[in-house]
Amino acid sequence: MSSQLQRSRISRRAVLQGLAFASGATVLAACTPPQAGGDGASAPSASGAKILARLNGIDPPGQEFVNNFIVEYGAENNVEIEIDYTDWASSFQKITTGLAGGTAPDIFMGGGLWTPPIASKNGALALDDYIATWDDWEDWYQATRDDVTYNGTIYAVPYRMNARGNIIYRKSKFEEAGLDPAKPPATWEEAKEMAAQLTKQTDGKYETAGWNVIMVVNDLTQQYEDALYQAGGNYFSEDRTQPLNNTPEGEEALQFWVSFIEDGIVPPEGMDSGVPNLNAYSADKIALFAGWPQDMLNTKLNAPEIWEDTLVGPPLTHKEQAYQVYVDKYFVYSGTKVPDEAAALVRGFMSGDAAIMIGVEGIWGLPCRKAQESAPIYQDPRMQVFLSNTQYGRPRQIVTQHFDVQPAMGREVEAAVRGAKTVQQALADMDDAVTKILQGG
Amino acid sequence: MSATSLYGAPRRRRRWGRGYMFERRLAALLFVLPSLLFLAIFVVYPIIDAFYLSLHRYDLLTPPIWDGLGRYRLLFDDDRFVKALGNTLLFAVMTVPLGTALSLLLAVLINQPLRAIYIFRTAYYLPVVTSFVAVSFIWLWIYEPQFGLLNQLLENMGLPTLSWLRDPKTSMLSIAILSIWKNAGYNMIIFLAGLQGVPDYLYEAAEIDGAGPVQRFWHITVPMLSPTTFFVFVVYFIGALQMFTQSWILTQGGPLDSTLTVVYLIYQNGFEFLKMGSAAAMSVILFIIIAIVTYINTRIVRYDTHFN
Repeated sequence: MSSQLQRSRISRRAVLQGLAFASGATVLAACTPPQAGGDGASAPSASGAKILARLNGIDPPGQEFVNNFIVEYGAENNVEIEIDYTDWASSFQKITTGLAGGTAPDIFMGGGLWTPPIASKNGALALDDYIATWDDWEDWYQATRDDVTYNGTIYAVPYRMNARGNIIYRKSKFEEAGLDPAKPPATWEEAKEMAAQLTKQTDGKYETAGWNVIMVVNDLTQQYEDALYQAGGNYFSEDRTQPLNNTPEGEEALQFWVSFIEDGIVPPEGMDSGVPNLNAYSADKIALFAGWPQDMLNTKLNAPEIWEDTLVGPPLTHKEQAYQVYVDKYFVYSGTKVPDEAAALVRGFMSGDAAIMIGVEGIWGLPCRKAQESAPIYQDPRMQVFLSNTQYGRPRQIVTQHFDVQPAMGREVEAAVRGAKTVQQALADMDDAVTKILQGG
Repeated sequence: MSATSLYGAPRRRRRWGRGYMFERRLAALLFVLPSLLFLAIFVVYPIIDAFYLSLHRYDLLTPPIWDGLGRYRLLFDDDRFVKALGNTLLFAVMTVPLGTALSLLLAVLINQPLRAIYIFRTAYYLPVVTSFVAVSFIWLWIYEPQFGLLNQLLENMGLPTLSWLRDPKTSMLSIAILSIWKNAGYNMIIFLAGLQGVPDYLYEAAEIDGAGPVQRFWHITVPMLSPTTFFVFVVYFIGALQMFTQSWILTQGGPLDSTLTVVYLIYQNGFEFLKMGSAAAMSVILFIIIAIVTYINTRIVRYDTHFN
């Protein structure tokens, strides 16, 4: 009996100890910094430094390239590289929480607006000393080098550029409408005139819209901003402390977009395919629009016959021929334990085939440096037009609060485009909202 | 000296001493420790931290700066927050009463002794287990204004078409319809469990007394299900006040902020605009609103609830 009791007590104690251990393990597991996601890849173990890189929006062929690249690079440089592939939509949230928790990856990709917000909060490592040793920094376009510089310090390395102001149109629809496909619209007036001729609608039901307005808040901002540049305006003063939307240039730019809805060229809700990941142009709903090169990748993959029927022209001109450029870039985390190795890997990502495969080939981006101009995608004559259009590119005027500013502007553009406010009221409210944000509201 | 326990085994008095009680309490504590730790880390601490952060300006990347009630003052000057509050309440009012009634109706229907009833039960429950993202893609196509299924149906019936998710006037209604459809199966199962607990003799007695199906439903089913209805209504209401996914996937809060909800605005402020202090202040206000609304619901609905 006694021995039974003894066994029983030992057994209970063991259970209690087990529970305590499990509780402790739960706490420790919860507090352990996360490792790369399930989709990640890593180079074989090496004895050197470990680098974690987070890459956004890389397609499967691109991932295959990267996985092979890190194996070779890791072996050559005696480093272990782990890649965390993620999507663009959640990347900013992941990075900010990673920076807040001290668990950000050593290298991470950032989008068009990221330099001032990340640099001003000391989230990224200053790269001037590393870049000073690079003999090819001049190979990057000036606009892209400006984009990654904040208060005179370089905080990132551009790997791709983008622009949404390229004129894209259907050859067959031009011919049907009696227009010359060799002469795309060059001015705002021509664009509106041709768009009206290309529109086919009966009682508000659109078979083809002659233009498109993407009715998503941030897209609306960007569409308006391109027109603002073409109207000779800027959305901030030179020192970026004062919004300049409520100006004659701003009024012209916003009215340009509003008129497509007012004139019945585009339905009030915009044209959409109704199918996720298929743009309206690829769904044969649009004859002419201002778009990104990657819109054409969507078309080539989903509607190759429409891609064959597609032509590309330069951005529109009003007072200036211009569009704004968006620069994607690599940051090195300010808290990295391997700054030298991480900076070297960024350079590796931006050299040779890697610069082309990761940077521009996978999503049909635009080059950010001359070396990328040899990418196979630019052999296509239409892609060459996209390439030559970069001469009209102007950098964006970005402020540290831009993640807040961009949707605030977009909401006012939306109000005007949907007729909820007059153009003048929307622009006045836009400047009020932006001023409030700049003042820390 | 030993007493006899209920089951006849000798109970040893020494085990009832102070040490034994301490050991028993320690054992109990250790058994609940994993759950307590989980609650403390993932529920209690975030709630306390949210209160703390709501009194600070905090952008996630630099240390919080004390701001007192500054974040709260800003909120009530913020048109979007006021609009989000209104939208959230509108969504709750649109979905909860109708969704609860529909779930009850479905539960009554699938409680019938039919041969193929399991097929219906499965069919009605399927939307619950389907991923919201997958469901949203289907509904995006259904609601598409130019060539969507719903507008084609309306057109064939000679009725005017709508822009559904793309029109500020109909966008919240569109989300509400989808949400009611998506949640009906879940609440239906809860009602079904309640229905199967209603004794048959009550129906038999009513039938003998000459009560028809409608009278039996109103005078037996509804009162007997009142505790279940109370539970469904309150939980559904709390869930509706926290609506986020539908708005995020289908409309991103638009058009013209017509589907912007408080939780969506919290997400935007916290993770898109890096205004974690404001996001925390909104969370606190939402917490208080949910507590008040739940209390009112409890007082009103409980009044009519037969718990026995």
